[in-house]
Amino acid sequence: MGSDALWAQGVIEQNRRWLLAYVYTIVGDAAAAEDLVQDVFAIAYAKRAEFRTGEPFGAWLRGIARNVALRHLERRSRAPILFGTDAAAWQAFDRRAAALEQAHLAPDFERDRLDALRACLETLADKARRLLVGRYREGLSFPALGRRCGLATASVPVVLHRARVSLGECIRKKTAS
Amino acid sequence: MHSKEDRFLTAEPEATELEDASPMLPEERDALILRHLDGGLDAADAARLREHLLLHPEDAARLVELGDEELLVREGLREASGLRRAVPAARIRPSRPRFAPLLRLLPVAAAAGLLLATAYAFLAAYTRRPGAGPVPDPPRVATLESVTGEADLVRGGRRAPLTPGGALRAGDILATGTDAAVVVRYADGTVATLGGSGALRIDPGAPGKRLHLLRGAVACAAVPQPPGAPLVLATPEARVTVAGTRLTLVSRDGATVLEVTEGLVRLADTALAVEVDVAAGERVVADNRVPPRPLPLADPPAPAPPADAEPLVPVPRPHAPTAPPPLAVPLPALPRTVYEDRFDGGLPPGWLRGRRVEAGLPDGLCGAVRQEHFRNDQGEDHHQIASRSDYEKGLFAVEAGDVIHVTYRCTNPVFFELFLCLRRPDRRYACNLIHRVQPPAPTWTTIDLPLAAFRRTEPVDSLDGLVCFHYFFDSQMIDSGLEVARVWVTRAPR
Repeated sequence: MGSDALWAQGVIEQNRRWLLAYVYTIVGDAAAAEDLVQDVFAIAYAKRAEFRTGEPFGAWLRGIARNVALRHLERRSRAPILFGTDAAAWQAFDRRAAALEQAHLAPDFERDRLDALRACLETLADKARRLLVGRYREGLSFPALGRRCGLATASVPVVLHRARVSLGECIRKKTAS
Repeated sequence: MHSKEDRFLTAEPEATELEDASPMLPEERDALILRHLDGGLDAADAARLREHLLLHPEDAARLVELGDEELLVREGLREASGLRRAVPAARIRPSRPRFAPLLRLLPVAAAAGLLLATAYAFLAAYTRRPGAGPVPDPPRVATLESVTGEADLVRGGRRAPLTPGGALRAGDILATGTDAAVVVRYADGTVATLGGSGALRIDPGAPGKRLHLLRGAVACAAVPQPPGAPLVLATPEARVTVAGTRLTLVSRDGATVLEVTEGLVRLADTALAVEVDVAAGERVVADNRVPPRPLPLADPPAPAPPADAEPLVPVPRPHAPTAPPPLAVPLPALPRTVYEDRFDGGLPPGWLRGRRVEAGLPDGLCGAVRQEHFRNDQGEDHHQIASRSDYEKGLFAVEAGDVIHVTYRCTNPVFFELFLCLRRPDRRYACNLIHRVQPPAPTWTTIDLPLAAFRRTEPVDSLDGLVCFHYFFDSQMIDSGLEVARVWVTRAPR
């Protein structure tokens, strides 16, 4: 698995999405996570000869990704949400990430979830849908969202959060079924 | 000693002694996690979430679940509108420089250049100290025995005549074209043959003979060397000490392959500081990553290189009867170069943006390109190096496993981004690939970037079959002092 041929066989394509979620969760910044995932693959490519055949490739990538993400936070003087010494939390975190890696290997996993997302959006109340679309698609601020939906600015994050939680629950139900 | 990662996993949890003074409901926990993912978590709430995770480490799994779900929502909603991460139009199709004013100035510039050159020559001739005389050439080290095909001799940074029978001096660099070969002979009969697409520097012996293979392949037939004065062949990755033997040495894309057909050779991996003895009938690879280990030439059988791979061995040398035989077995299949830009002889034809520089370059390179400032049609300042743009023919066809390599340095190492512009085979625009390098290296460095890891400005199912028609480096309004000496793309054997 550590050879050049592995990289020619789409190793990045197979692992990009779950690794992005992993890094994003650590740094809490989606745009930075995209850049950091590039760094992770560049480092992994440079160190590909160090990877030992038979070991879990995802775990190897996660080790690199964690260090890259934590270094990023350190450079920005931001403390990570998970303490470096909290071994139990990191183990739970990595176990869930490993399950996510497996889930993403299924060929239709992402497409099914996107279908579920679209279907769930349709089931939301109009105001909730407009808030989500305004926030995620158009990047509107809370005051702008408030003006659009007839809400006080202070209420926007609360209503938006409820909409987001409802959407998440709906997606989970649909994909579980 | 524990690595940073080990420490994460081996340290005792510190949370066990904490008390859960204010238990957090799952709804509040999820709300805090979502705010963390949105970048909106203040210090107090971040501390509260950290404390909760210390007490309930199993909830760290919820971080990953919500992070993945949040990405799905972001991407799903953006894709629904076709909105991707915004990239200024100027980046996608960089505006062409306006040549007309420059063309008008061309005759004036040429005349000024001629005048300056004449003045410089005049001053150089008349300001030389009387009696100082010309600077003597370094002593002859070896003789150029023969040349086949296109080859250059670079002496003191300039091209010198390449004459069979002519002297080769310390510091000389021999460079060969694709199907060329040059034969170097020492006074004791030792012969080194440089194959195609290679570069070999003649270094001063101290004592002994020193050759530095900058790239390509060299085959060597050495007569027994005097004790304490061996022939030393260096590559970017290794140093080979020869007492008297026949061998072939290939340096390409970060690896050195040594094959010994007679005698005994000592190879040192210069980065790992590991030395191995390589006997007749053995081969070893030094790549600065894995300790070199000699293997029999015939076992295990090396995979056959792909039919369209470039030749890795020196071209046949009918003119050089003393040259060693060709390789005993095929070399291990190495990535092959499918595209390359170098700046040794000037900027490549049609180059869009960047200024050529010649000072402070890495070994084996005679030119680089430095980023330059321009203002695009929207009035935005950029500092760019931009390749030629050929939408119709393209620069190279892409495969998903391709890796782009860049040799660069930044005198003001803030950041830069590398953009590759891709179209589909049917000539529709496909997407830009973007890789951000932050912080970049202040000294000459080569980075290896798999294209599949690049961020894409538009969704594309696969990179296979797309065509790269243009690439550029950009550090926006900041002058990173970016200099690029070589850009090349390699493809791993399948």
